[in-house]
Amino acid sequence: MVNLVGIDVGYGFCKVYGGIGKQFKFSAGYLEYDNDDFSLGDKKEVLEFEGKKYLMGEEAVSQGCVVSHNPNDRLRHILSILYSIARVNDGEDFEGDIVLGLPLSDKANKITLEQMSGSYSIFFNEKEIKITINKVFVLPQGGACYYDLILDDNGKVVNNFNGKQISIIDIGEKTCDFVSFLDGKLINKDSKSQLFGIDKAKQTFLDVLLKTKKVNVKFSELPRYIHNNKAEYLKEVKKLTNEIIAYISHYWQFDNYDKIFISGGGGVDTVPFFQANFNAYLIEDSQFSNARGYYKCGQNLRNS
Amino acid sequence: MWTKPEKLVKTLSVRLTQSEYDFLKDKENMNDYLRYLLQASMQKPNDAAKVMIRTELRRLLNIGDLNSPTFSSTSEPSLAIDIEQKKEIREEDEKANRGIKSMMDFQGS
Repeated sequence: MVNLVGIDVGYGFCKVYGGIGKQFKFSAGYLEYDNDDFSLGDKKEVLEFEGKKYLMGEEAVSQGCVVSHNPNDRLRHILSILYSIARVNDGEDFEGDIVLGLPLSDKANKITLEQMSGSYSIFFNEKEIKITINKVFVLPQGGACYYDLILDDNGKVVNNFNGKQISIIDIGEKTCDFVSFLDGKLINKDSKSQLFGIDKAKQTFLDVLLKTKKVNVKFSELPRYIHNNKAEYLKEVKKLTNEIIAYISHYWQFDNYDKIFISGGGGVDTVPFFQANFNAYLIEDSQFSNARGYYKCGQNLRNS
Repeated sequence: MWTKPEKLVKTLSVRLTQSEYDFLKDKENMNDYLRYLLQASMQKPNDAAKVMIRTELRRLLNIGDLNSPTFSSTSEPSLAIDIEQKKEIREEDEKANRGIKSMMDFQGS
C-alpha cells in the first residue's frame, strides 16, 4: 500500500512516483464530459470529482482537450493529483502524504498547493475511493533532481557531492529551471526559472512544417511528425538549447561547477547540444527525476 | 591481486552503492591507490581501511571523470553497514534533511 507519492504535475505529462515499481506518467489535461458525449475506450481514464466527470490523460488528449497553461488552474492540479493517487494505489483508498513541485519563480502558488491537504471522495473507474492527504510538501522543480541523485528510496544519502558545486538544468514542457547547489545547499542567487521549455522547440517545428510542407499538425499528432522529421525537429531543439545557454550564461560561469546535470522531459533531446558547449550529464530516466526526487525528499522529511 | 567486489563486500562488510559497485566491477576503473588499499585491507581488515576505501571511492566517483554521459541515481539496498558508516550516514542524512528544509523556503526568480 502506497502512503507517499511524488507527483510532478507538468504541462506535457504528469509524472508519478510512489516507490520502486510504482512509476508512470500520463498526458496532462482534462476534459469534462457527459455520458452521452462519446463512448469511452478505457474507463480507467475517467475521474469523477465533486459531481462532475472528467476524462483524464491520453483519453482526454485524444478527444481534443486543450491543456491549461494557467499556473493558477487549481482544478488542473487537484484532478491530476487525485488521479495520480488513485492510479498509483491501484484504485484503493489512500491515506498519506504527497510531494509536489513548482518552478522557482512561482512561490506564490506554494500555499495554494499546501492547502490541498484534506479528505476527498472520488470515483475512479466507477469505484468510490476515499483519499486522505495528510500533508503536502512543496519543493522547487530542478532542486528535487539534486536529491534524486543523492538519496535512495528511503530518503537516505547514498551518493554525495560534499564540498562540490553542482548545477542542474531542468527542462520541462513549458518551464526551465536552473538550480545550483554548493555543498548540498541551494544557492538562491544562481537559481532561476524561465517560462519556456521544450514546447518552444515543438511550436517552432510546427511553424516549419506549416511553411515548408503546408501541413497543419494537431498537437496529438506531433509525436508522429517529430519521429518522421527528426532532423528538422532537432534543428529547433538546438536553437532552443543555445537560447537557454545564452540566458543562463548571464548568471553562471560554467567552468566553476564540478558537474552540470540535465534533467526533465526535454533533457534527452537537448543534452547533445549542451554537451557541445560544456560537460553535461543526463540524469538517468530524466523525465521522472523530479517525481523521484519529490518522493525521496518526502521520505527524508518523514524520517526526521 | 584483484579482489572481486563480492568478496570485498563479504569480508570487509563494506557498504557499496550501485555506482560504487559498478565502478569496482570494472577493472579498468581501478587506480593504483585504490588497488593498494584493497590489497592492504584484505590482508588485515579493519575499520580504518574500510573508511579509507569508502573515502577513496567517493573521491573517485565524485571528482573523477565519469565516462558515461548518464549518471545513475539508483542504489541497491546496503549489503552490510558497520558502526562508523552508520554514524557517517546519519550525519549525511541530517545534512540532506537540512538542505531539503532550506530548499522548501525557495526564493528563486
